Amino acid sequence: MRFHTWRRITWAYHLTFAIAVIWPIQSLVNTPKPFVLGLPFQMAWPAAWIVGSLLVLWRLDAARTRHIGATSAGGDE
Amino acid sequence: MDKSSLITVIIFAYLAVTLGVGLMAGRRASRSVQGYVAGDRDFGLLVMYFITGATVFSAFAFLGGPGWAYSRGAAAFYILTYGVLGMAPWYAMGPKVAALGRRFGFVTQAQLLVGRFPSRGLSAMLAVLTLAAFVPYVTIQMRGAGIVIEAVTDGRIPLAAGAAVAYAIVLVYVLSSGVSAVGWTNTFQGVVMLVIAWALGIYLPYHLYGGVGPMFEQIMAERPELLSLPGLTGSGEPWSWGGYSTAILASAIGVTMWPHLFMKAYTARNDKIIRRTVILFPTFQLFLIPVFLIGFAGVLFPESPDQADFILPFLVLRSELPALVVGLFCAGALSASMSTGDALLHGAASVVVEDGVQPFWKLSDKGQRLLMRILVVLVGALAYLFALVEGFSLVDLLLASYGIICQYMPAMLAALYWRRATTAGVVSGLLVGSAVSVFFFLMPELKPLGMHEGILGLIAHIPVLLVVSLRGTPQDGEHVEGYLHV
Repeated sequence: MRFHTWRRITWAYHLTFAIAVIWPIQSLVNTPKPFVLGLPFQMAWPAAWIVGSLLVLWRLDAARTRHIGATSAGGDE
Repeated sequence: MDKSSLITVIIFAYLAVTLGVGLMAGRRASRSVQGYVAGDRDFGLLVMYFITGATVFSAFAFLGGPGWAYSRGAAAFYILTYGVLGMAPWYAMGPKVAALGRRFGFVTQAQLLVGRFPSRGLSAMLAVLTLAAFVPYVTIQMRGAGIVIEAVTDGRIPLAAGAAVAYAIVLVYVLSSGVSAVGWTNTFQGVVMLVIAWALGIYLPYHLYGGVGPMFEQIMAERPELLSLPGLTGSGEPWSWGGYSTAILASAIGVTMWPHLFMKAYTARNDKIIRRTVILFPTFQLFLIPVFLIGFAGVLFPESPDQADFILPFLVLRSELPALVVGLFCAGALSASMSTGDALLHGAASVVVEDGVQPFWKLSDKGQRLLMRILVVLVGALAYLFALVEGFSLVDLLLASYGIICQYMPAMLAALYWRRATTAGVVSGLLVGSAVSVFFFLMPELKPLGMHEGILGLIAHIPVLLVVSLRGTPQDGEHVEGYLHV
């Protein structure tokens, strides 16, 4: 996927993340069961979003590196 | 040697290593303001990763985090969520801030704002607000260090002496090596924090309950209210969803805007390192999970400490761990305190000199560095005096300063991305936002839906910024281009 697409995905992901961990979404995700790796579900919920953030940002950066390589614009270092 | 002496020896060994790392770090930095404040813009990924992580996670996370989980249950989860939300915007903003720093020679956050919106009054206002926000923050770190040392040495080293020893060491390395010392000691301290938190966070639930899942099963059976969001308030009443949700948003904005973190964008060697630091930050953030597990492990423990914040040292001392582990735990907690405290002291001194003094009285490069060192000592001394006063509600002051730091966000976004913003708009927005935030801090019973005062301040701030800017004369096009396109 192209860099600009990943940039949009990254924005959308973090906006969704912010909405998902506050009222009203988080109040719907408000049960300790099922446990995930021993953690109550409401605690695993933000943790999963954090791990997702790592993956999305990592993919964005990879797409960015390819994009810069392709356009040979450089100027980053 | 008895257990308590052995622990004391480990603590002093740890402090000696920290001091050594701090003093070694400064040998390469240049003797200039750029070297002292921005590390000659030459920090690599390893140091940037730990300086960010260890600075964000302070004694509040290491002692307060378990304290929250222990006494307020699920309310603590808000601390887990905001860090990554606050850091992610730096992927886009960080390289831009760094480029502006290189172009105009900025080393502080206010210099960037005042560069785009020229006003000595704005500069002085930011210096005063930043200093007012930092002093209670440093004080909390000092008390944290003192509390841990007092607890694990059985009171043989009282709070005042413990805090004095830990922060004397911080002073020595910050005075001699500036931000290079902050960077390298934070790397060492960050490693200690991560290892200790994960090791104890997994060990204690297994040791006391036979596992993480079984621990939560028992808590669910005996204290179900702790596992239901938004958890409890400090006095044990249910917390409001408005309070929980806006605490996340205000804290995330705070993480994006805290001046001592913001300034670190100027220290990175290149943009790639800033981006990689942001990408890797979530791995640091997850260390709050074991930290909370430690707090939850205390919930069903038969005894309880006087104050919730003491739950971590309390459990560690009562679970028959070997002295070595207790000593290392203590090192972890001291790391959390000192790695935030050093960045704050260094940041406060840099901001006061560069933004509060330099626009009014021009000092030589050497004069600036001398004044910064004097201020590091003065701010440290002031915070220490506060730390000695019992019962002073510092956490309340820190929360109030979060409300003010939030107000930096619209100004910064306007400086970096909005062509039509004007100096008058930014200054009036900041004044209104800060006033509203302070008002609701003083009158908490008037807060709509229990919302955080920082968010209430922003609700007033943003329209003022927009309206005053749009009604004023636009800034010179060439000047604006210098900030928007880098």
